[in-house]
Amino acid sequence: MARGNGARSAFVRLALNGHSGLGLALSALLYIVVFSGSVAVFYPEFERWEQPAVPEFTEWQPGAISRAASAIMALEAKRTDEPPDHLFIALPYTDMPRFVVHAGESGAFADPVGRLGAPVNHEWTHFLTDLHLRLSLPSVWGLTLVGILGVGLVALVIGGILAHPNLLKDAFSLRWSGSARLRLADVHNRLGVWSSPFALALAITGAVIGLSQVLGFVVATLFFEGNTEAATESLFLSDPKPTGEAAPLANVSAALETVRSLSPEMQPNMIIVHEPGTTAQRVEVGALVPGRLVWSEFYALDAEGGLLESAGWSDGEPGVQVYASMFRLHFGHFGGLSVQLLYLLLGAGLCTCVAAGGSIWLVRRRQRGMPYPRLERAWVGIVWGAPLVLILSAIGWFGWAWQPLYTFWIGLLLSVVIAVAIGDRVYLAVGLKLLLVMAILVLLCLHLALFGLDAVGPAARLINGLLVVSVLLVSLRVWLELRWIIRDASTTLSLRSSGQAADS
Amino acid sequence: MDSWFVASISPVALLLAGLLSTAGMVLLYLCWRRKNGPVWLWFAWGIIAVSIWPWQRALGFDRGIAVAPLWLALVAFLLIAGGANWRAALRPFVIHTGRSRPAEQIPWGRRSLRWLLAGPLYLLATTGLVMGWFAQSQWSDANRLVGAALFLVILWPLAIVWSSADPRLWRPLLACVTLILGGCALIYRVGG
Repeated sequence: MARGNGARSAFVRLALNGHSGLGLALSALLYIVVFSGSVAVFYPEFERWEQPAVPEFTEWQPGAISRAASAIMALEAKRTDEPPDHLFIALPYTDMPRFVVHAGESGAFADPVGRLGAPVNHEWTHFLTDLHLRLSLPSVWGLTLVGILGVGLVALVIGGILAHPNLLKDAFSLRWSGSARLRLADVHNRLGVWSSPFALALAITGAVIGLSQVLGFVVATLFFEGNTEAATESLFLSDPKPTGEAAPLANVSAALETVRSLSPEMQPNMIIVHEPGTTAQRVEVGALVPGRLVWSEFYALDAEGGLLESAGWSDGEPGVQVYASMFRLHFGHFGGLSVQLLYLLLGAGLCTCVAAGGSIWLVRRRQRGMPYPRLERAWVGIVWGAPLVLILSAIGWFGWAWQPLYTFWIGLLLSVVIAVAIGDRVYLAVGLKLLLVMAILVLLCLHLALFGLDAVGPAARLINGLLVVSVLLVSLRVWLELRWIIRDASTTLSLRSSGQAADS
Repeated sequence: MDSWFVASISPVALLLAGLLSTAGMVLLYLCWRRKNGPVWLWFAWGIIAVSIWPWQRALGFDRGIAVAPLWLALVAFLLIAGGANWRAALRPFVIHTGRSRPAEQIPWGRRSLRWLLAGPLYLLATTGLVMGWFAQSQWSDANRLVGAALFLVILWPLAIVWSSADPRLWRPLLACVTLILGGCALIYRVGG
């Protein structure tokens, strides 16, 4: 029995070592991916927030779609002689009440009549989604790296569960009055355990999405003579072969009517015309499926609106349906605002779990007499610096049209460098939080100054409301921490002089 | 503005699902606090398991399964927060720097081999195995493709956990080599 217990504790120790080693290796990038993902749950709302003055509606006049499609094709033809590969039309509905048309490089909002309005300009939201999906790296490299981080997160969840034999015994304990390590460990473990199904779902779907291109390439190389399109054609509708011969633009309104009559319970929300305005053109209509996780059902139609085939995302083979369900499950877009808020909350919990995980390792090093003070401060610089520079990137974009990509990454680097240079971790953490509060307030004021009443209108209300809630929560924490600092100034100073650290 | 995604939800089933899940979680919490016997514990887990059905009735088969754990996590966090000693939480804590102790030194080569094994080698091994399965499987292309992706993102993490925790490194190493060879043999047999 004793031998069995010994073997068990040795296994737990090794599993814990593996869990900490892996967590440490992935911590910074994983934190940025999880944090940006938690914010990006609201990417459709951020798109609306970036351009709050755009007209919003859910009904449009007959012929508006064809009119808007022809207008954007004409706009693109003025820009370049090269015909566009695709014409994309986003149809307004309750969750995204905006009518958007894209052809090649041209994109614009349209009104209910089909007249083009303001150009589409979601630069900051695109940066945010790129940060989460690719860590701002070029497409395949970034997706693969984030996919590998997803695999790492799956390993961390499984390893974390194996490393904690008292998982059920401690299921609800949060010992705030214990030692620093116990506090952090309790926060890390409780958040980790109860959000593990959520973390696993996100990590597995994220890993599949991230690694799909590489995996598709491997399968194509081994079994399809290097033809990636042939390898994945069972999942998607195929693109037509370009002919380059001009033809009148496909009748998109007729295609939409065909889909509506075919599946009246579905909500068509996008139309894609492949090779538009040529004899090869083919229309694809995407429709939301009620009560399902699948992203959409896609129908392929000819230029006159006659049905050719469907992708089978809602009623096809199990593999196709599972694949089609991964995106909504990953993005949290399947139950309206309440599910998005749950994703935000649990995502924030996952961020705290990652941040606490890193801190546990650092505290353990310190308690063993092997502190890494610079790394401790750098970690604070990443954990609180990331939200700060994300807000600064939005301020830079709105205020001076600075590219958010550079503001974010240069800002994060500066945050870490400054954090390492500043001697006191407590003041550093409070300072970063204080800066975060100020930055959010500046962003709110800037948004109000730029967009006036539209900043409190339906398109921007949610995001600005969430920003106000964030200000209140971070301010509360700053106020509490400042109170401790003022009260215990002498303790903190004496700790600093004796090489110890106070933390919050 | 109401979301299109909530238009098809059945409110009665949703209420029932929320109540059952919450009741199951509260019971679980009470069992933990009062150290009740396993009967109550199993009863609590039973209620939670049963609550999956109204979740599915309310939201649909797959959406129901997706939302149920989110709700349970939220209730668990509320219970934990409700039972926590916030007065103690609001006090700053001090981290004492301990005396330097000689730590167990793991040779650099061994540590590198462990990471090499967990990362690129097991990626190769699990990809080989998954491709071998892909070659052998009689399923349709779509099912094989998605199955392969799912197997890969579950098998590789399991291999990472094993290779980073097993004290005898030769065991995961041997398994890795076997998987690579086995995967290659399976692909070769089909002539991929």
